[in-house]
Amino acid sequence: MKTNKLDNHIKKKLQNRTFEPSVSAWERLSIQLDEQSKQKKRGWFFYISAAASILLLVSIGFKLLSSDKEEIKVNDIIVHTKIDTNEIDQKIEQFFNEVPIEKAMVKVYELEKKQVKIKNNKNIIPTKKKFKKPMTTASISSKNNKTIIAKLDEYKNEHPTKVKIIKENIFKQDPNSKIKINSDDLLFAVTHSSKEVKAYYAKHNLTREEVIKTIKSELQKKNININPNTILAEVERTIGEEDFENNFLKSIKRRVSNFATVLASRND
Amino acid sequence: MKIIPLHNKQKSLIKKAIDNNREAQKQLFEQHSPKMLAVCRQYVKDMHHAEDLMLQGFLKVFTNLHTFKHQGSFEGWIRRIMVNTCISYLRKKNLLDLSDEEYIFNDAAIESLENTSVKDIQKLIDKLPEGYKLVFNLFAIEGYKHLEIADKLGISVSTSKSQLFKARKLLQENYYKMNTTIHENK
Repeated sequence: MKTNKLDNHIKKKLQNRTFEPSVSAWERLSIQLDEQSKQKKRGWFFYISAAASILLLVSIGFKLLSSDKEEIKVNDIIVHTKIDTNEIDQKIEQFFNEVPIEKAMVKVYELEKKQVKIKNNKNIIPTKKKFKKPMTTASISSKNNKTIIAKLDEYKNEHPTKVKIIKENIFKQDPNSKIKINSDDLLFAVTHSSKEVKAYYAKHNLTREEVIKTIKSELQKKNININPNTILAEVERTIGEEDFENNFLKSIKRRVSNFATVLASRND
Repeated sequence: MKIIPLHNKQKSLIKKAIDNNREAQKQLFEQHSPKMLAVCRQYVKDMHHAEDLMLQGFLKVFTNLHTFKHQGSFEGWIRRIMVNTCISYLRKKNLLDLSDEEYIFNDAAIESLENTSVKDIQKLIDKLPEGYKLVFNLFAIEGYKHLEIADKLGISVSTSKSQLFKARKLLQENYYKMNTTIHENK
């Protein structure tokens, strides 16, 4: 449709027409522009923070889900078990009963105590002072065994029974077997005999029962559950030492105290 | 000689306005707001509403200023935004009555409109129904084709044409009535 005269006339009249806006028009527009820019900034921050929050939640969820599937491995297993002192005492007592000291000791050391001088045999039968380390029968070489037997023949006439025991101990044992012997036990066997212990008690006007009673009372004081015989056996080993001879009862008490200390600090 | 510096000045103002320079935005507003208010006034009878629509239009102008490519007239670009703002407003208010009716247009005696003032012409246009007025303004004043009007308003081309006929017919009738009243008063 073509524009007619009416259209042209009206267009001519209205096209270049102007109206002055109100004084506050620009102020209103300026305020709207400020608000829009704030909304834009806030919107940008809002969307970023919302996205970050969602991402955080998703990652936490994923972490939790994945950690649920994994097996929890306990690396350190801590087990607290009480140490049964009675059981230990029983085992110690059993040990003493099973292996009598006299049998466990190598009787060859008694030879030295009797001041039998065996030449060229220092390595096998050490002196009382030198002998500190534990010694096994396996460590005695077969060559030295022959020497021992040769020297023992000389002693045979004086102590036929003891030599017989030594021979039995040497020849009955398997050369490959090993028997561990406490050095103190060995020393006691060398330095003391049951007769000597009895003599010692007689000398000091003591009975074995009285000593055991003393040990029991000390153990009760310290509240320790240990067989008194074990301690007595330990004490008897040191008979002959000078400081021990001076005060027998004090030594017993000191031994009991030592046991108590050892028991108290065993778990440290 | 004078057009080039003016064009450059406007370009620099637009650039500053894009960077949210409030002073440049104010200058652009002061340059174009009187004409744009008149444009809005063509579509809306109330001047306050027209000014509100103009401000909405300028808000869109400054928000979308970076999309202006300097390929056409800046005023024409703003004008189109104003017209679209007015159309949106009228559509939201359901003021558009674009029902089809047959009109027989008689353009006789239109010559007498030449002696009519702008104010009276505006009064004649204001008396038109919104649908008629809108299509008439878009076609006669803004120079849109019926295809463009139909696209903008979401109507068929034939509806746009019939709306224009109705607008013209009503304008003519109203003009005669107005002239008759003036002569009777004299």
